[in-house]
Amino acid sequence: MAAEKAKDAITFLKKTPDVLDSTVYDHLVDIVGKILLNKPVGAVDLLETSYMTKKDFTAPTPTPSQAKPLIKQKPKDTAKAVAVSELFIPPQPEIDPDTGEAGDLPVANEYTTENVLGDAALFASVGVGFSESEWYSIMLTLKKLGEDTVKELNTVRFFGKFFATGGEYYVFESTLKNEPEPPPESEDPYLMPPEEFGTGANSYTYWVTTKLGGPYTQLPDVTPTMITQARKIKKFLTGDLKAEVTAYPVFPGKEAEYLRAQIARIAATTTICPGGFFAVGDDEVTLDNNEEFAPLGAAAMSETANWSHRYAHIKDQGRCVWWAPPPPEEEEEEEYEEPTPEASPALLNSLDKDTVVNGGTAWSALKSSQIPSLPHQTVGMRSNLWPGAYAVCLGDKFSNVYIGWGVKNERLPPTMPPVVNEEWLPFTDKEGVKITCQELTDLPPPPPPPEPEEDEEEEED
Amino acid sequence: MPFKTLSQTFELLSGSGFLLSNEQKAVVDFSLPLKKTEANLAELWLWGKLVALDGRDYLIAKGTTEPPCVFEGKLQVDEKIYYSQDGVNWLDLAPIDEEMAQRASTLTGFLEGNPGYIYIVEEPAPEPEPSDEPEPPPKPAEEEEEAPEGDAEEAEEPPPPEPLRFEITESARIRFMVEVISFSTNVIPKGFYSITSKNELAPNVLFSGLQYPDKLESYIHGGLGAPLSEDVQGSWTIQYDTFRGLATLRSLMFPGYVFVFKSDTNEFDALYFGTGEANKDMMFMLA
Repeated sequence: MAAEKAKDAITFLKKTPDVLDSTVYDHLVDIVGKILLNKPVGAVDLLETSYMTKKDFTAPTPTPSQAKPLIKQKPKDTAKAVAVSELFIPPQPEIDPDTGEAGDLPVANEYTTENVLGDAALFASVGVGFSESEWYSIMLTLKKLGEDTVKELNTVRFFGKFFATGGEYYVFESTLKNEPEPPPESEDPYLMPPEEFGTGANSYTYWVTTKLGGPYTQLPDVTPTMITQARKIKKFLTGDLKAEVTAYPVFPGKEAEYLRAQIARIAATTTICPGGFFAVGDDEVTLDNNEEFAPLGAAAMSETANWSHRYAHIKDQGRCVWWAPPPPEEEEEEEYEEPTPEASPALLNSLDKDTVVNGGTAWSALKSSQIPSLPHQTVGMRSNLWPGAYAVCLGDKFSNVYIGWGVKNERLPPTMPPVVNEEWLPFTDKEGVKITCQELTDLPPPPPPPEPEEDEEEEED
Repeated sequence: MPFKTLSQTFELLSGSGFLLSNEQKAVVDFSLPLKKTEANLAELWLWGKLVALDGRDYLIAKGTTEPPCVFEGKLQVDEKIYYSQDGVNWLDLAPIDEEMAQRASTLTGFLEGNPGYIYIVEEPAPEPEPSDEPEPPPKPAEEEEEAPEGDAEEAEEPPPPEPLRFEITESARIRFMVEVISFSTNVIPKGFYSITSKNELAPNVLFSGLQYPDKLESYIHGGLGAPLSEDVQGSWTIQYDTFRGLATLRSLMFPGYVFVFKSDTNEFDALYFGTGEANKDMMFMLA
């Protein structure tokens, strides 16, 4: 019986499979023969890959098509690489087709900006930011935006990078040379108007691009409704500016408006400067450089009291400057109360008065080195309210950046839908009181029943 | 396994905002190999950074003494977790038991920055067990009618027992955070590891790359885990750049976890940089 079973086993091993030329039996014979012939050290380890028999045994090598991913290169991704590499080409002078001589360089818009690479080095010293090559590409993207003669920017600054579920956004903050046409004033005087171009939350114009060197889209100006509604929802960005923002309460706009509202909130809350760098101007709105500013050392700049907010605070109503609807025209002066303007912290107030977040301070100080006596240390400030907002300072140089998802660090339970209205009950008045039969006598008398028609009389016959 | 050098890791992952300060980058290049020799580890790699309130963030590293082995279909991993606040000294994070993990899961808020900081978790005390004494014999009916009026004032309930207080140190909370995040992430390209004849999980010598690097099915949790496509739908974002052959995965459940895979060299790496807390509002934030 055992001999029969052994015979069956060997027959099975000698079965030729479909793919390979040799059988399991031959394979085992080869291996055992090799081991006894060469007596290698650690023969058990070599067994698993049949390494020894590879020299005589032609194993199928992985074909090149198996080794590479099956996805072909998409032109979209190649375009991204081309866009970035084109940033590095210096502008070429136009060549006159007739004479073949080089003409003047194309005219570029004049603009001012900050030293992006210098700021990048400051950020890197505290552990914030991107790789050097990405910063370089960002700087060149900024340059391309600033030199655009159609957009005519006055100043440009790199605001930050927003991550999205389907991509990312690079955002640039700018001021324009030419004021655009103001939007037509709405006819309803009770509707809260957005802040004028160049003031409050609309002090800056924001440009966004999804790839470095790519086309720039101008984000619309922000309205108070956009800000108040954005405060009620918490959404990830998707990477497409025209995408719907599916949320409740309904957000008035698409992702471009939502991104603009988030940028306004982040900029107002987290753009900071060393205390004393600016001074409030005479009109109490604009900021001027403070000539008496003396830069502080790293130890002092680690204290939140020595930093101040750069941009105006956005009130609950969604504007930086209070707006109240005009009093009603009817003569109800006794009942009409002017709403009290919402208080805002003063311009350039220091950070140590910011409210605590999740049981912790609103800002954390980052040090470039843990060795206290090291000179020329940079100090960074990280926001705990908007994760991803950073500021850095060395002497009198400072900079702000945002690298994050565009989401505030707070639990935002979703808004409940409004209570369902109760169904109207018949025979009840406005307050739900049942109307008795006596009150029904106010109704007109019921119409008389219709008289029988002559046709029916004929049919009965 | 992780890239050969940390600088290559940062080059690819810094697009997602992960960077160490120059000083930490410089010292970690030395301190990690030193710790590896000192603790006799086979592998030691940088896992990520947990953010602390006072700015002294915790760098976390993971190490193994031997490759993970497969026993009865399950992966046995002997991982040691280290933390460092300065990048020079790597200190051990002691493992925690299930009870402590249960209590640590109730803590919210930032890490303080002091490993010895004590969090207090209150739990309601268990109800007192019913006594084994036989109940007193029932009173006759006449007295029962009068009893509720009189006894109501006399009978006083014993004061509710005080809630129990448990102390959890910050280092235990860090250990818990790292374990939770690793459990939900720990992304590996499918087919990268294979089981050897010694039942160990080792890099697959014949790994020829991913056929579909832009799909979540190509990535799994841990050595034998489930593919990422079986996670909560939408909790991972995946972008594949066909030109550079680079796949970037970001977790939305734990924002801050980034995984990259290079198709041309078949290398991958992942890092976590965040507060350590899960994104509890994730389902409302997805489109």
